[in-house]
Amino acid sequence: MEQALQTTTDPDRVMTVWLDVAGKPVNTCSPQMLDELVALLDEIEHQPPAAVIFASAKPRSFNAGADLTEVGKMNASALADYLARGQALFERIARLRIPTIAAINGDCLGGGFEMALACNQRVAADDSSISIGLPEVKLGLIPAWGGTTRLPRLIGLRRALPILLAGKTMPPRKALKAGLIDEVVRSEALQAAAGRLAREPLRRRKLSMADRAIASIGPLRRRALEAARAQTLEKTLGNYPAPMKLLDVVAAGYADGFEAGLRAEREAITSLASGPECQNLLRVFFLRQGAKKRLARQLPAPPHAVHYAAVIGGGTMGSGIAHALVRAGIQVRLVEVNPAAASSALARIRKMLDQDVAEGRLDKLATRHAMNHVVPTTDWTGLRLADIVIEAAFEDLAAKHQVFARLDKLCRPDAVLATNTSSLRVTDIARAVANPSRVVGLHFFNPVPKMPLVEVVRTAQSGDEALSTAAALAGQLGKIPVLVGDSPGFLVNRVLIPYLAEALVMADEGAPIATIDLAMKRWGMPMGPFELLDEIGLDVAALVLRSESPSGAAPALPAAVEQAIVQKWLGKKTGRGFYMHPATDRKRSKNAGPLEVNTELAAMMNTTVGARAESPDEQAIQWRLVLPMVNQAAGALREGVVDSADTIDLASVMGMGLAPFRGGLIHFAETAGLAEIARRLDELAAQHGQRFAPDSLLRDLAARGATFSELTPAPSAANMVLVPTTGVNTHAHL
Amino acid sequence: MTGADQSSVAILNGARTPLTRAGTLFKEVHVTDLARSTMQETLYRCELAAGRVDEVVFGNVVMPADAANPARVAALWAGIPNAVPALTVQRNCASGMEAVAHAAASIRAGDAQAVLAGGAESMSMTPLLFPHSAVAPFTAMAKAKSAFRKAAAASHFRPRHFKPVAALECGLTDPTCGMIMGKTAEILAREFGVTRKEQDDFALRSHQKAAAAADKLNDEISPYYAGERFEPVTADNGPRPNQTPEALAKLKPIFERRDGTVTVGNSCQVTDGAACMLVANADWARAEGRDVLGYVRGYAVAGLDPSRMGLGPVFAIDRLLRKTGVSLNDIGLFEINEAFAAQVLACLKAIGSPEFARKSLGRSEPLGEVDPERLNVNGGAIALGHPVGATGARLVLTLLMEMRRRDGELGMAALCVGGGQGAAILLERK
Repeated sequence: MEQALQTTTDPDRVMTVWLDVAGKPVNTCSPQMLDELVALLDEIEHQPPAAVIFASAKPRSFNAGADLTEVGKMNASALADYLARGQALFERIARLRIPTIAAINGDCLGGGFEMALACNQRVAADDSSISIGLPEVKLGLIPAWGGTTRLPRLIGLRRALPILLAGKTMPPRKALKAGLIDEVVRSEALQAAAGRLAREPLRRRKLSMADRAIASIGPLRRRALEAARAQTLEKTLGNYPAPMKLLDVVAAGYADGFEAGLRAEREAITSLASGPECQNLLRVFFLRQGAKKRLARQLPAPPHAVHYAAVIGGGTMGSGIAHALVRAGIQVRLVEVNPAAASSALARIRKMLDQDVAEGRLDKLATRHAMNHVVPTTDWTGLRLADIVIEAAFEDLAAKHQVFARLDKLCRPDAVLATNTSSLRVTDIARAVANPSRVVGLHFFNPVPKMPLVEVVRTAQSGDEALSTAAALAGQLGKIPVLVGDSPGFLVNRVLIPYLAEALVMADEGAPIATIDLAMKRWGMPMGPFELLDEIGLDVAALVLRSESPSGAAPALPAAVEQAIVQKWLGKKTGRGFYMHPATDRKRSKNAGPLEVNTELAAMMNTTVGARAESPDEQAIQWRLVLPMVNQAAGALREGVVDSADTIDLASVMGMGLAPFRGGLIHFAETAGLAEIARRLDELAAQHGQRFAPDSLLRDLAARGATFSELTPAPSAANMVLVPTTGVNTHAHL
Repeated sequence: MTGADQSSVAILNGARTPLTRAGTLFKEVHVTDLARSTMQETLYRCELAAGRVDEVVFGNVVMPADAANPARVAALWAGIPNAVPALTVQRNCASGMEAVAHAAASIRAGDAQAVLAGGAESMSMTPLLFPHSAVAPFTAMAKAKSAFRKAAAASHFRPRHFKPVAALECGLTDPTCGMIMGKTAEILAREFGVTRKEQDDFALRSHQKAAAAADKLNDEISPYYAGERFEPVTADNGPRPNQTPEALAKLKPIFERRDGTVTVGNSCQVTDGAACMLVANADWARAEGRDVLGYVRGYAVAGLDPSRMGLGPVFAIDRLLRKTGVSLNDIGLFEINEAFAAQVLACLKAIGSPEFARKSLGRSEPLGEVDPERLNVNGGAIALGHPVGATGARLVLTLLMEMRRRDGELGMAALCVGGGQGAAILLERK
């Protein structure tokens, strides 16, 4: 087996250890790597060099931590052994009496960063694409190679806890400010800097008095940890055990000493790894990693390179899309109706770039280049240069027909014409074009910079090359593309809409808005349905609810909501919707207090027929709102809108933020058991209406005792059947 | 037999920013950004990918201190690949035209097929200069290591070291004859008997023509989005639609206070702006099936007495006509840069003067007549402004677009150049 590391020693006896896992693009702390490091440590302890520099021979990777695929194959004892070996190894590195330096030239995550933490000094290349940190918590684990115990000692409990609990990773300059690393240098100077640090180590910054006090004075420390515990519980609502365990480990490390801390780390991992939350989070992680490959299999045609793109419409979505394009280095011709609109679009893009700078993703010079890549026009010239056009203009079919007819004439025959429409049929829009095989949907989510999912919409006529070009572009923009059929709501909105509509019905029946929202947050949604409606905007939501649902899927909009729209109670954008959004609070921090309910609207909703004195219990709310989503997902699968349950799981987590610890919408359903799901739907149908009737596919699988995951995914284009535009649900399977 | 080759140089299309009075809408816009936007817009209008440009050449006079070779800086901002060379040329007021001529020469030499050529100027950002005598004490301060030495160095400063000099004023003064440009116009006014009234009438016409042409000029203008708020600037702000003879008559002469006739009203305005076009090998353009605005038939420059630099166009035109074998009467449309009304009027008189032809041009007949109805038909620098490095290119673009409108065959643009030169270009549409 090829080696995972090499060493070189310079004339001054400074040894550089070059990490280089054979045959892989990134370095990981694989079992083989650990073994070789152990052997190396034996040598170093026996005959110490003047100093040791840990570096990477791979151009864009330092060490990304444990190899999760290998970890996934380990049983409990193998895992415990792996953990112990890593801990012991890093402990030996930490104990070396000679200077140890980590020269970070690429992503340095998890175990990779723990190795760096065991070194005396850490220096990183000034490249904002590098990620540094301990993201284990996001996978339902904790840093278990000494990171949980070492980081608070390095930067103090107060600074370490937020970073550990959130699994925060950051680019080098931010990592420097946070104290995670000691120096940032120009990329070409990294090795030279490491050499310099080997000879003249930087003086360690001592912890402040306050930090030392918190660390050593028991009651102070316990108070800090309690506060963190309470805060975390408020955020996770008990759904994520990993951060809570992490706090236990930190406490043990301080109360009972470093060794005890390490032991606590091992025990915590073993217990977390076997739990459903971790397994589900890992599941989602692997789905995410595999998304591009899955799409490449579904769309094997080679994509065209995209150097020039055009964006039609510079509103919220259009400017977000343009921003993503220029961040990827693509030239953008931004088409707007008049100079004032173009000016607003440019300002929006600039704001997103400023946010990138504030969050350390870009430096100012890069934003100037990016901004220079956006060239607005109001006269539609220059479109022949576009390899792809993304239309994000007014959601009106006649208007889009005009746009596409124009594009058809102005663009090259091989250019892909994509629409960001969410409420119209891409097939209908494609009618305006002579060759509809070049028309696809590219559905981004709002806000574009934050939402990772993109639905690549295929019509019956969309060509393979157009689709693979669009999908490849989405990947280039750093998004996760999923292939969906051209059906109302595609996938995500289709699933979300009955959920929102049902929430409105429940409120209309008298259930308190805040209770419903809390119930859903406790279930695992990032925010409750009414908070979400306020974010989307009640007017937009109403439009969407009316047009994006397959017929019969969603109940009618309550009258009170129509009235609210008339009164301009549209949600966050007008300061008042289901909740009050006072202007000063507009940029709420995540830790702000709960929103105040708009009591006038609440009163309007409770005066309709059937207002009840007691509100339904939390579980009842959750089942009643989640099951319509499951039902829609089943329908989408049955109609061939998506190829597999895995795609639905990925899209539900990435597109809606749906309870990542549940592993996805379908996985949740299968965990609960399809028979149980069908039974509860029948109950709800009897109580509240036929809209709850289980989807035929769901009923069929439940009856046979089969699962969604067992359905063979449709590998090729031909098997994806699309709903005809009449909106009639045909039970069609090729 | 004819001096000029069969035209092998085409101009495909171009774009310019609005022209704005210095100190107004573009006062914080860097000249490289003005240039960049015209380069990008030109490429989009020509539907040419940035990677297919062979060379970039732009005229610029003030030369920003923080962007050496502004053409190169602008080209890189514009997304033109690193591998495409770029240069900045300077022939004072004719720099923009010189850029087009340089592009044509590159193409004729077979060194390039597609060249972005133009000119840009930010007169707003012309620096205020410390006098050169201040360099020594400032340098001593910078080098001084201790507080004591710094104090010693500081003691060498004098009040005169802090009196700033407007580089603009310096730049507009020719050191070899010690005259600011306006003074040379006064000399011509007297020599050719151009009255104050004639100058003011000419200035009024410039404003009227520019105001009337505002819609037409939209064809060549590409909006610029200025500043942090991306304020859309869509039109030239120099032309005064409500200019009156009375308002012009009230102005006092600025270059010769007592007996002069040249005022701010009948001189060109100090302005910011940029213009760009794609100059290409005509055969290449034809093979690619690209639309062409016109062709470069010839270019000429001539030198003359710096104190009478305003006559530069006449000498350059003389050369160009000889070179191309074309006669003045064949030319359907003219752009003669309106540095000063007096100067353009003097040129027109010289062009039609047999005596001038004999004495100064060595011709037995005068050059011909320039019909005022065919001269600067959409207004000139008196109304639109004269961003010095850009104007030469702007005139070519404006002329070609108007030739297209009129389906004209031959057009000529010419400028006078501070320091005693003239430049002229002959354009044709086949």
